[in-house]
Amino acid sequence: MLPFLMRRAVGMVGVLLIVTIMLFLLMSFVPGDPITARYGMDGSSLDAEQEAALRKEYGLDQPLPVQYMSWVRALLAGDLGDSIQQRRAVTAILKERVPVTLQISGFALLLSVVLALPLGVVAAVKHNSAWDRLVSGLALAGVAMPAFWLGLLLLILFSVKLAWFPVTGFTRLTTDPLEALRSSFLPALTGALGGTTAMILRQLRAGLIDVMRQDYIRTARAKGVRPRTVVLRHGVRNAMLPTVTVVGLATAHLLGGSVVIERVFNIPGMGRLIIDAMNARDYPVVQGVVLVITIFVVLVNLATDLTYAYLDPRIRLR
Amino acid sequence: MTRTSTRTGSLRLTRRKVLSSASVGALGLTTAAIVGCGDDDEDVEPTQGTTPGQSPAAQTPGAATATKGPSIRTGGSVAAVVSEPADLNPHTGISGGEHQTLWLIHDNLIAYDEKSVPREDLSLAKKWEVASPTEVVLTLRDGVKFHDGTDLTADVVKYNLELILNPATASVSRGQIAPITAIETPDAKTVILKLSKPSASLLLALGDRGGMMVSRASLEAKGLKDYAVAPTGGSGAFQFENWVRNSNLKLKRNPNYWRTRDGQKLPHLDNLELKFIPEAAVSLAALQASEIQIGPVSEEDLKSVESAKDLSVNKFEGASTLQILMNRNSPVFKDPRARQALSYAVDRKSMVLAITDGRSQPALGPLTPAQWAFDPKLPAPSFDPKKAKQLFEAAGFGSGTTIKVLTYAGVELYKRQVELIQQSLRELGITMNAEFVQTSAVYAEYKKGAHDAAFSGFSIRADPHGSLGEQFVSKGGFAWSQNPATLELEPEVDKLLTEANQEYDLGKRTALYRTAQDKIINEYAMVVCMYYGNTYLGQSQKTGATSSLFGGEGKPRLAEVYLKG
Amino acid sequence: MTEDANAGRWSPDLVTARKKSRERWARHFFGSPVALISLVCVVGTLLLAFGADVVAPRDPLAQNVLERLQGPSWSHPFGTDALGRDVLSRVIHGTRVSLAAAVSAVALAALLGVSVGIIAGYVGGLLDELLMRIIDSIVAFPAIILALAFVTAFGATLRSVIFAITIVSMPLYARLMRAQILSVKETDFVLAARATGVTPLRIMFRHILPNVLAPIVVAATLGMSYAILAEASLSFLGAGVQPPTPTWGGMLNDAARYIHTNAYMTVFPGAAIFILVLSLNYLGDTLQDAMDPRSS
Repeated sequence: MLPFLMRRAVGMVGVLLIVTIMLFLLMSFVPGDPITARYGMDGSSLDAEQEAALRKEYGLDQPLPVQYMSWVRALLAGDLGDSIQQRRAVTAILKERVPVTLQISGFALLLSVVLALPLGVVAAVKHNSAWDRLVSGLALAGVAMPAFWLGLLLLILFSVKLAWFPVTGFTRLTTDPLEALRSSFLPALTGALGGTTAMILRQLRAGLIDVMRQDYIRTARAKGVRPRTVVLRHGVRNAMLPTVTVVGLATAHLLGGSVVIERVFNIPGMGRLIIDAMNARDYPVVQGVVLVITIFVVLVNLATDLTYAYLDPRIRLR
Repeated sequence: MTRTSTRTGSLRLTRRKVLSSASVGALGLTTAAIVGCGDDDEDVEPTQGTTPGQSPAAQTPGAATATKGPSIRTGGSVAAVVSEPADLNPHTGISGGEHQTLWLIHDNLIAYDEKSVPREDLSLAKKWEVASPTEVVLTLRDGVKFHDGTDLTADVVKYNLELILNPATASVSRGQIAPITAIETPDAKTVILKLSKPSASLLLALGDRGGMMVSRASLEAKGLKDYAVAPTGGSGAFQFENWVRNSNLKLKRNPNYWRTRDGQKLPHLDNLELKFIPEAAVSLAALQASEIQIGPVSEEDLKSVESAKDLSVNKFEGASTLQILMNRNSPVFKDPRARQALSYAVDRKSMVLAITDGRSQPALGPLTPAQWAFDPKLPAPSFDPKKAKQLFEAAGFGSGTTIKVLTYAGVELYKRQVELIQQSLRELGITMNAEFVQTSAVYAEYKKGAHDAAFSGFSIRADPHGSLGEQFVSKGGFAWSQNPATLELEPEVDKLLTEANQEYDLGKRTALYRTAQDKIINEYAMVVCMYYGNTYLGQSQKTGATSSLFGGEGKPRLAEVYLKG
Repeated sequence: MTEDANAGRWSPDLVTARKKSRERWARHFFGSPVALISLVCVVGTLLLAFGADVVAPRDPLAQNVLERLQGPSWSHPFGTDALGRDVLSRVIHGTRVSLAAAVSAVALAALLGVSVGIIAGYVGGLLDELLMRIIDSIVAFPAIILALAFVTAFGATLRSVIFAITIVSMPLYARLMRAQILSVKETDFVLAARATGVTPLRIMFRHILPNVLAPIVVAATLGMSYAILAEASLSFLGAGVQPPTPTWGGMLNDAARYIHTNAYMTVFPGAAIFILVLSLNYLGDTLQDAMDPRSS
């Protein structure tokens, strides 16, 4: 176990390095300059020495590799730097934003599973029939619509016309759980329908079909076990295994989708933060968000791998 | 790692338990979310503003105290949409969109109303006079208290102005109040500004960021950076409560506000919540769902809401222009004939139809009808594609030419403007390639000089110096125009603009600005396409306002909004 | 794996296997109306893209401001947009950009991914580790954010959008290829072939590629549907292909602000995206089932 974890830890550091370097390099190509972005489109509020001094303060006068290394060094000391746009600590900004995105994404994942589970069972049990087609079709339909369009339509229907959910405003779980559920539902639903439900459904259906073909299922049926028990007890339980692996992929997908969803539903999360930061070339914020997202995705992947190994005694963790 | 059969027994139980709760991953995430926001509450909470020693609002919320005017309720809350500020410190912020929020929290030394007329009843200075061309005397009114309890005195004014003049603050107003060489405070209510040269635009600047007064105690206690996220030292109608970025900003009544309206103390409301909604469709949806009572609407969308009986339409015409800045160093627009050709090629009437559904006007020049120096007698530029083609060919750029233009990414207005003109030029055989760049980078890109033109807009200033002077004066103005659009403008224009700024007489200034404008137009320094306005919708059954919803420059001023009782 | 071991040599088993495979394909494609419709849609879109100039009733760029924001009518079956342009013609021309982006991005991704996979698989060792870490990193990070960063850095043009989508799509092909090479590399058959002097290239073409072709084709169809959606999302975020070129994502984005008054405006580009993405997905699924010998 320990060598496995060590290897994964090293892998994680590797991935973090590569991702942060990648984004850092990309940011360096963005036209414009964080100082002009912050201090005036035309820089008219700054004179030449001030601009130079500011550049020095943010380390922008250094060559790129040096800038990156100082970021890493500061990171190891627990300092993510200051946002150039907001002029306050990146960690403070992240503390505000991360729970918001997690709330929506978590809710979305929950909804995906809740939706995909029964649908997947139906599709697999009646596979290749009209039901199967319908279910798969519905799941695909969600994927085939661009998230922002789906979100807007849901907003118009449920918030404006039916007034079941608020149009704007975001409440946290800690502030008011009921209101939080209400304000998070539509964005979470958009996220769920936008791919993760289909993902989980597909995996579950395929896994279930595979399992149902197995000899031990036939044995159970021959023994006279009721079909429903067979499906639920033996089928689903075993099909859940490969489905668990999709959670990691789903997480990355949801975090990416948050970028669009947060814009449509006006949610103050990481997605909006990173778009604004990229446009303003506010690289401390970009690096900070990238770091958080990557760590999160990698950890979730690790967790699912561990869960998978824990649940399936045949797996050897390398 | 392998598992032995002895352990399988206990494992099966665990597996069953785990497997039957299908939401493993989801639970984990949601738990993380709860845990994540559970601890360290004070760090996670959005920035709070506390005003020590301040007594709660004396008014009973909801009490209908209609003295004058129809059923004006005192108290209650309203939610409105404004554009999101980045920095709430008047001295360090840079965006024109922040005024909407700043004006609720801070007051100006000299404030302008929606007609760009300076009004003492809105200003912190109850009187101001130009004692001599280089001396301005301000007399502050009594009884003005900042939200932190301190008083407005001449010292505080001096402190604020000196802060702006200090290069270290990096204030955008520095250039505008630069003529101030000395500030004297003979008594607590008098401020004497000594200028290096006459400057009419100085009075303008005092109506903008340059004149927004902040409590010295707050600034010194917090520092500029912290004040920018929690502005608790203004003197305005509302006090800062809290701010969640990308979401909303909460304000509460200032019980000691010095302004009154018709004998009633202002503000009318107990709470004002400002929401930030970037998508127009969502903002409108929120209005229709009554989640906000006041929100902006584009002129295009007016048609769909006009028939709504409970929505009042408040419009400020001529708040901004849409224009094309031409790079006079580019091979194409070096030639004045090419510049003139572009003006003939623009179908302004169609543009007005396409962009504002016909609810605004084609532009006559850089000044809009909302500005007092506007000259209604200017000839309307005509749309003449034949002439445009002739002129382009005369300048040597006939069919087959390609020009490269620059504009802001993500702004619907500029995108439409580009598309319309792309088509007009296409019909002349000229291809226009547009590059859409992030807002923060447009100026830097334009400065490089690789583009033939840039599409942009300009919002009006209360004083024509802001519109003409800042855009066309060759030194010290708004840098957009410095290069490469207006280099080598007729030196006459420079002289006129400088003179107009040093003249205090309104009539003389108007004449000077009009003459300058004529020359600018004849030089084809830029092609001004059209004017457009600001429109705000209000739920007329629920809300009203005892003043125009707009202030100087057509920016929304929501301080006098009330709920109907 | 009987097929490739006997590649080039005919035997009764092989003939039956091939016949069964043909039957399987026929059954999957022609037996299911949905699959057939999907195929027709995809091919139809391709034809539209090539013949757009001929098929479209009007010039997609021609503006007529007086006729703006009209609903469907005889002269404009899909209505007009905010600048009075014919939506039908724009949707038809939009197939070009959407397909160009999708096909180019997927082709490039496949090419790039397969090359990387081959190098990693054959060379192995440290290079393999490094390449695979980079691939892992691209997968680990949410695709749309990476694509957005790319387009923000290099400007919102068709080229950047294609490259951005290429980069995020590439890992799948790299992994597929590498897995295939690794699994085959150590088999007796290949070792024997190498011993007898068969060049690696020949082994590649004869034995490795035929097996990996199936999953790559399936991945490609699904990749194309992703590319179309990615273009739409990027347009919404302001980072897509810029005017005046008509793209479905751009049209949807423009129409979104009119969703209160003219909801129909979003219907046509939205439906176009929807139909093509759905068709590609169904096609991919059918291909997958058809190529899987175990399917019933």
